[in-house]
Amino acid sequence: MLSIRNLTKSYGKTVANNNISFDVGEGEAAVLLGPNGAGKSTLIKSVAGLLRYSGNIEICGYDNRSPEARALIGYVPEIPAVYSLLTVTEHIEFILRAYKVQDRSFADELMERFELTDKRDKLGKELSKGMQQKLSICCALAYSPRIVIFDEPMVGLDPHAIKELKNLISELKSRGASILISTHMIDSIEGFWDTAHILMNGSLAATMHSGGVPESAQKLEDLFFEITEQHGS
Amino acid sequence: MKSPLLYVQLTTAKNELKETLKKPAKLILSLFLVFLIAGNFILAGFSSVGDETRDPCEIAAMALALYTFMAVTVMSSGFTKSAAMFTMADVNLIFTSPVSKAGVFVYGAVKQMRSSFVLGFFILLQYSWLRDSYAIDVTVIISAFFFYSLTLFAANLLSMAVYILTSARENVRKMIRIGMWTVYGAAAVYMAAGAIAGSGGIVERIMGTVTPLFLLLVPISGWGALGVWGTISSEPLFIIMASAAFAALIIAAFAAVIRSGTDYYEDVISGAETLQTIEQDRKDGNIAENVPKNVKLGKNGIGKGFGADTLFYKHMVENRRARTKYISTAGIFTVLSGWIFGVLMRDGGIIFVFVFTTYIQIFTMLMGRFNKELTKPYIYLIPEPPFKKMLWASLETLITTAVEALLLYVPLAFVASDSAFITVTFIFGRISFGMISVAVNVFVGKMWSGTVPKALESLLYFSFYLIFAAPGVLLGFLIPPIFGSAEIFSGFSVLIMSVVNACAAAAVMYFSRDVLVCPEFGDK
Repeated sequence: MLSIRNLTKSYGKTVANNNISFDVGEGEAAVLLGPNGAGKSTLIKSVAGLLRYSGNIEICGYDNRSPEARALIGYVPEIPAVYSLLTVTEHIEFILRAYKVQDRSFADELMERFELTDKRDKLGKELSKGMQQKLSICCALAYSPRIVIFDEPMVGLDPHAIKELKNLISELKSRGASILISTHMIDSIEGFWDTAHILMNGSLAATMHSGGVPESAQKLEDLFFEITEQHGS
Repeated sequence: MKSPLLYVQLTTAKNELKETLKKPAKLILSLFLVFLIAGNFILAGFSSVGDETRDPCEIAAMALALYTFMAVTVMSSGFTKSAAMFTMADVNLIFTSPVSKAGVFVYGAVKQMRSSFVLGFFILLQYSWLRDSYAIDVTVIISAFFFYSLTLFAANLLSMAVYILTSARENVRKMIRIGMWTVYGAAAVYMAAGAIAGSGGIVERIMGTVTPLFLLLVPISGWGALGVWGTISSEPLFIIMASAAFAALIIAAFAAVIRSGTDYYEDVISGAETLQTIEQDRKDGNIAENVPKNVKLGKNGIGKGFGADTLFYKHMVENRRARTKYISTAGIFTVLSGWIFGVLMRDGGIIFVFVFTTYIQIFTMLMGRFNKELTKPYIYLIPEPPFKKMLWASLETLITTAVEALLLYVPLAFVASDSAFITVTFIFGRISFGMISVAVNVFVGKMWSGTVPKALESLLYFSFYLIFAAPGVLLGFLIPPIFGSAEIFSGFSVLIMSVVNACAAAAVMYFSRDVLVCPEFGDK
């Protein structure tokens, strides 16, 4: 479970995240929505433990920057994090060794599902942007983290990979993982989101629960435009 | 109305200046560089030149070595892949406009010339010690700067022209590349033969081969060195000959590209894309990695490691693929320049090489694999204690530094007839200054990463390098006299420096270990 309490993050005088609090429970998928510059990526990076902030972020009861919490977090950055001189296989091997995971069956399954198996000998620098994104996703999930944080994960992916990622998110949820996704593509989250937090100018402007209702995505879109256009006018 | 290309050039320059004045960090950095150069000149003006100075023509030989290294590096790469003469903004906005292709090529060349002159500024920082050793005046250092920049520009322009004119003819490119290596190789063989067969000391024998005619026959770098020689010996004819050779090459390169009517846009786009990637990486806080075009894959797999040590084994795989397993390209450059410097200054022992190569090390360490690792999220996310991750991630840097030190000082010990003790202390000294570099990176990252612009971060790096290295240097000078050592700067001094540096670096790294807990990774 992910718990965020009174998270505030500033860059000098600019407040990127202002006193934000919410939880993401086990088996829940929470979505961060907001226009460009709303503070979504800053929040995601703070949760991943990559930024300094004030407030509390806990992962299954551990401070998010402790080694115990690190072992439970999977982070997919907005810009694919790939090493130019490592092959696809070596990226996975590196992650499994660094996280001290012996069983690589799930990692192999991920590579198969994201069509990376036939690219196993390709170097990071030889991969297209989309392929790098797929590899970045595989690296983040290879050790079966309990909390998975995605920053704009669909950008650059082909339709097959988007479908596979959506299926995977649903599977992770059913296994009890907590998912936090930042995106501004509302239709891309249809079918698996449980809670949506709309950010405006660094603050939480609204929170909506899907309640498993199929029309909720349309309602969310309406709410999103209502809030963003209200603030924009 | 002004030419659109002239408008872009002038407006860009004007906006750069405005931005420098508006942003305090950029302004501080610019003023720092100006003061550094001015300080160097003032220091040189106040210091008295010793009674025994060396033959200033040796500077021409050093210029030949440096210029040749740079020219060969530029051309070797430029003949096979497009140089970054244009940006993607040029490609998207200027290439698609109705401006003539010839005009656009001149525009690219002017931009290239500007970059070449900016890159040459470090030459001016060498004035103080060159004046002390060779009793030169300011015209020589300005000449060395001018001809260095001209050499870079000519090498870039020639390689771009060759790349465009041999488009899609790989065999021709290969032949030209072989031709280039043959010319510079022949010059090196000629100098080596002269050094073996001549009479007198090795420096005199090498200098015996470096004549104006020889320099004129070595394309580009030789002409640059001839210009410097002309300034040193007050022979305007040599300067005119060098300038005329450069002018002829530049005009020929322009004429060849423009008259050929080749549609070169496609050929230069890959260079623009590379530049765009580098710029984007810089904005994202990444360090652009100089990855070989054709990487030999070799064994696929890391093979070792479990936990934090995996970082080290991964670095070794990356080094193998980058063809820099135990020594980097910058390391090879340091070793070669250290050897040249050591041969020239052998009478003073390798202490001068130690000072010179430590100075270079401050800059080259910024490109180490540990620094590259800090730009990816994994090192922060791996669930291991931060100090343990830090030690394993910096081990590769220390190993390559040790290899560099061995290659540098062991051969020089024979040249300068230094004792085994002094050689060993210099090896430890280099490793310890490498540790200081790593520690400063970590410290600056902990204190300021993400909160100050990158330019100011570099300035902080240099400042804290001096601060953290100061205790070792001071104690290295102060302690030996207490034990009765008469020498101001001896192996004993360097040994003390090494120990203090290692302790200082370890302490700084330990207290900064939190940087791997919260890095402010790649933001703002």
